[in-house]
Order: sequence, then structure tokens, then C-alpha cells
Amino acid sequence: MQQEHALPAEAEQPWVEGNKTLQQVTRDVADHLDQKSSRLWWTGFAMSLTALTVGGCCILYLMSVGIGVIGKNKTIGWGFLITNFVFWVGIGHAGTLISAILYLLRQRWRTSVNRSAEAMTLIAVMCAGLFPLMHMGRPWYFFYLMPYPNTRGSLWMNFRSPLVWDMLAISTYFTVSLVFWYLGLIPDLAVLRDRAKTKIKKMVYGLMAFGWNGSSRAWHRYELVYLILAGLATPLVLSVHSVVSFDFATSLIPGWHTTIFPPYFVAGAIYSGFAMVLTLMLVARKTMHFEEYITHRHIDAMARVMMLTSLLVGLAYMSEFYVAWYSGDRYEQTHFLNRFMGEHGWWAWIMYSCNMVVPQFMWFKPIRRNLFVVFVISLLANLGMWFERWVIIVSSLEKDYLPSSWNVYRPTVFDFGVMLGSFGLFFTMFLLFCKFLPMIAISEIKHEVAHGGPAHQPQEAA
Amino acid sequence: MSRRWLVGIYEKEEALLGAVGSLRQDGWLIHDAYTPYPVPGMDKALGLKHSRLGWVAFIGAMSGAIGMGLTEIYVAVIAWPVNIGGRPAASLPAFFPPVFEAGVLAAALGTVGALLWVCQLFPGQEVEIEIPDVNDHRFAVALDADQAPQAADKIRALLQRTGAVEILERAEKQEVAQ
Repeated sequence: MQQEHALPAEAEQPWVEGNKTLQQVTRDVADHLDQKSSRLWWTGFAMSLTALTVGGCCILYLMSVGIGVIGKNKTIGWGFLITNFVFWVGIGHAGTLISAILYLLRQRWRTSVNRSAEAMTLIAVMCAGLFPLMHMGRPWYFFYLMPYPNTRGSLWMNFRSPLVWDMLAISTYFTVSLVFWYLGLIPDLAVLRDRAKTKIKKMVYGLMAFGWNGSSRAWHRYELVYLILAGLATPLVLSVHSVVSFDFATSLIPGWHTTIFPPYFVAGAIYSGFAMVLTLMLVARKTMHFEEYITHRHIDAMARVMMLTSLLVGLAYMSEFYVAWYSGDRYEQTHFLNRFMGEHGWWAWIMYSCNMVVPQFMWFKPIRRNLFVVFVISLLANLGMWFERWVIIVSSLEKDYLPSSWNVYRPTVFDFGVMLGSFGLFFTMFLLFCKFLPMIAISEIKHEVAHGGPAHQPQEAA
Repeated sequence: MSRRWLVGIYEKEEALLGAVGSLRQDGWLIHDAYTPYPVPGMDKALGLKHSRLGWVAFIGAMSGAIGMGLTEIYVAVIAWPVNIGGRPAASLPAFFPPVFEAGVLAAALGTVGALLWVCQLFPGQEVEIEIPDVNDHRFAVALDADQAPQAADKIRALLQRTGAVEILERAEKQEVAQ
């Protein structure tokens, strides 16, 4: 094959180790789908399902009694639920960044992680969607947000409202990500259909594979559509969290109405998303033996993305302080002083240390190559990002312009319950995904194996 | 009369690319080639025209965006104008985010829908020509066996010469069902 571009030395090494043949790739990825699940899987599944059940009960109670059961009060109308919403939407961003933006940038390492990162995106957006629904208090009226001629007047929604933009942005994001993910799955589902041994599997995978048979005419169009979808998903990555940040930035609350919010939120989202991808992939590669597919170099690349986005987030944090000082606005200044010197200063300290300081260790290669340390940093990053949203939402609201209405958000057991439920939902769905669908994009890896490095041709005995 | 397919199976993509080239050089019409991953250069080898699905994306994006823009103007200016401190009813900058989202959504769904339609991919669709291992590690090419008098034998010979490890004969699906 003719090499289109000269690549640097490291990039020329194949990203998949172990000189795989095409058959081996299929076996490595698909074999465990035929095997019985390990005890570890069942333990994880039982724990996640329990968390989901607890969360489900809390949601049922919340819906039947009303949102008074959570810690909201007249001053702090957005608390735990909206924090979790922003947290989960942010997590989702890494999947689309990996599948779309890195595809357009021809980052070949994305191939090993894109499938599971995209699945993570979909599940995270589902988790995120739960929270505004719960926050409505009467979730069964959610369709009031949809624009359609109705019998209420017809009373239309306000298209100028950032909350309506949010609904449109997130549902579009979910739909496009789902379509993108499924399109990538179709050739792999055909592989699973062809090797299925039981009748049920053959039928289900057969239905899901849409009759795919590897036709070159189909591949020819498929590749174009994949590229178009990547192009369409790219602005979505940037727009969704920008729109989420408009929910805050278009208001007049100190700490919220800053023009820097859209890029600040997007960088934070990618940072937290990569942290979650690392958390999941480090566990998955170990337990499912994908070490040759998700190599140290993949981990290294993701750690670098985390480091870069952490620097962007850090820059945004510091410009916030600078602008608060430079604006001369008393309320802004008080808010930012209060943010890290006030009674709840420790929230901000967790946020600044986990998001700005800790990732700086990733400058050092030995640390990026130490999987345990990377794992710990990825967990801390997610903790830090949760606190970032908490700080933005609650510390801005708790001390508003009128000292007589200052208040404190005291989360109740239902706040924690719903949050636990979202983690339960996330891990339950992810474990089911690992059990029934190929975690690694088989056809893309085959292309990588066949065309990845020089002098690396698949050798297969007939 | 139902069609018969001759399917040549190869172990390597280079062999398939070579075979497709020689088949086309000899003037045979190729029904399709089958590969486990998109083989670079196969579209040229098969002489496939550039797909027009990009236009579908463009039309989808435009109709989604314009449709949403018109809806917003209808809703906020014609159907239910609200006077908020004398601000204009047609607040175009605030209308932009929904316009963008609707454009992206319509483009994505339209393009994928068109792809599935053109390639005839939908739930429950049966595989047109069953070729073992072609999604796993083998590469195949299928030709109409009756496209010319004595075509089957000539094609078979050519497939063998280009290094096919296996040559299969397949009848069209409905024939099998009868």
C-alpha cells in the first residue's frame, strides 16, 4: 500500500500488539461473548443492580411525594439533581470526542476504545436525562417541552429559553450518538451472527445485523456515511456542553454569568469523560484480557488528553478569578472570595486540587505508564469534576444578593439515593453491553491490523 | 429464471484486488465483492462511482435547519407573540441553537436512513449471498454465472488462475426457498 503521509516513528508501530491475524481478532473480541460470565462480572452486576434498585425506589418515592423530599429550598433551587445532570452529560463527551473528532484527526489509537467509549456516552446521557426529569417534579409532563400544536392554547414553548435549547441539544446528541454507535456495530453484529451457535443468538444478532454481508458496494457508502456522521457529531461535542453552560451563563447569578462558560464547560466535560473512559478501560482490559488491544500507549494517549484538558480547565478557573477581580463587581468578588475561603471552601479545594493539580503528574511518562496511578488519578478527576459542578451550582446559589435569604443545601437520603441509582444504571448498562456486544470494533481493528504498521500483513493458514 | 452466482474466495485482500482487476479487464460484470473490513482501493477496482449520500446529508441539514427556523418564527412571531419589555418577537440570535440542532439531527438521520435504504439493510433482512467466513477473515467476489454463453466455465477458470482458494456456486435466495 502506498503510504499517504510520512508518520513519526512511534506512530508507525502498530497500535494492536501481538501480530494478530484477522481470525484471532474475531476470536479475541467475540469469544468471551459465548462464555459464561465470570464471578467478577456477576458480583459487579449484582452490586450495580442493587444500586439501581435503591435509586429506583428513591425515584418512585420522589415522584409520588414530590421533590420536597430532596434538599432543595427557596434559595437553592438547583442542587444535587442538576449537579448530577451536568456531571453525567460531561462524562458522555469523551465517547463522541473519541469516535468523531479523533476520527477526523486520523488518530489511529481511537480504534481500540471507540466502541466502548461510545457506549459509555450513550449510557451517561441516559443517566443525565434522568435528573432534569426528576427535577421537574411532575416528569409525566415532560412533553410540554416538545414543540407541537397542542390543546393547551396552543401554548408553545419558549424557543429563546436555554432550558429548551438544552432539551433539544441533549436529545439530538443522544440520537446522533446512538445512530453513530449502531452504524459502527452493524458489521460486527454480522460477525457475531455468523459465528452464533445457539438459535436465539443467531436470530437476535441476525435481526440486529440488518443483513450485512460485507459487500464492497455497501462498504463504499458506509465509509462515506461514517465520515459524514463524524463530521456532524464533531460540532455536537462542542455544542452540547456549550448549551448546558448557557443554562448558567445566561442568568445573572455571580459565578454563573460569565462568557467563558461554554469553552470552560466543554474542556471540563472532555476531561471528566476521559477520566471515566480510563477508569472503565483499565478495568476492562485487565478483566477481559484486552491488553494487546488497549495497550500502554493507548492509556498514555488518553492520559495526555486528560492533562491537556485539565490545563484548559485550570486556565478557565484562573480567568474566572481574574475577571471577578478586574470587573470591580462587588458581588462577583465576594462570591469568588467566598468560594474558596467561605464556610464551604473545602468543596472548591477538592475541585481545584483534583482538576488542576493532580493531573499535572501526568507530565511524567513513568506516571502515565503506571496503570494503578493513572486509575487513581482518573477516579480523583471524576470526584473533582463532580465537585466542580456542585461548587458552580450550589456555592453560587447559597449566597445570593440578599443576605436575609442565604441558605444552605442539606442533601437528604433521597438526593444520595437518586445519585446512587444513576451510578447503578450506568454500571448495569455497561456490564450488559460488555456481556452481549463486542467491546472493541472488530472490523475497524481488522483494518488497523491489516494496514496499521509497515510489513505487518495478516498471515492466515487456509 | 433465477440467477446463479459464482463466488471466488481469497485469503488475502491483495489477491482479491488483483482478481477484481483481471475480471474487469476481461470484461466480466462483477456483482459485488465481500470483505471483512473496507479494503482501501476496492471502490476504484470495482469502478464504483462516488456516492451521492453527501447530498442527502446536505439536503437533510438544510431542511432540518430551515424547518426549525420557520417553526420558531411561526411560533414566536405569528402564532403567539409575547411582548416582553418591547423586545422584538423575532429574536434571531436566540433562535439559532434549535436551528443548529435540528439541522444536525435531520442530516444524521437522513443520511443513515438513505444508506440503509440504498444498501437494503434493515432488521430481519436476509443475507443476499451466503459466503462462509467473509465477515471474519476471507475475501470474496461474486459474479453472475449466466451473464454470457459459457460464462460459468470461463469465470471459473479465471478465478482459479487469480488464486481463489475456493469457488462456490450459489443460487438466488427465492429459488432455495421453493
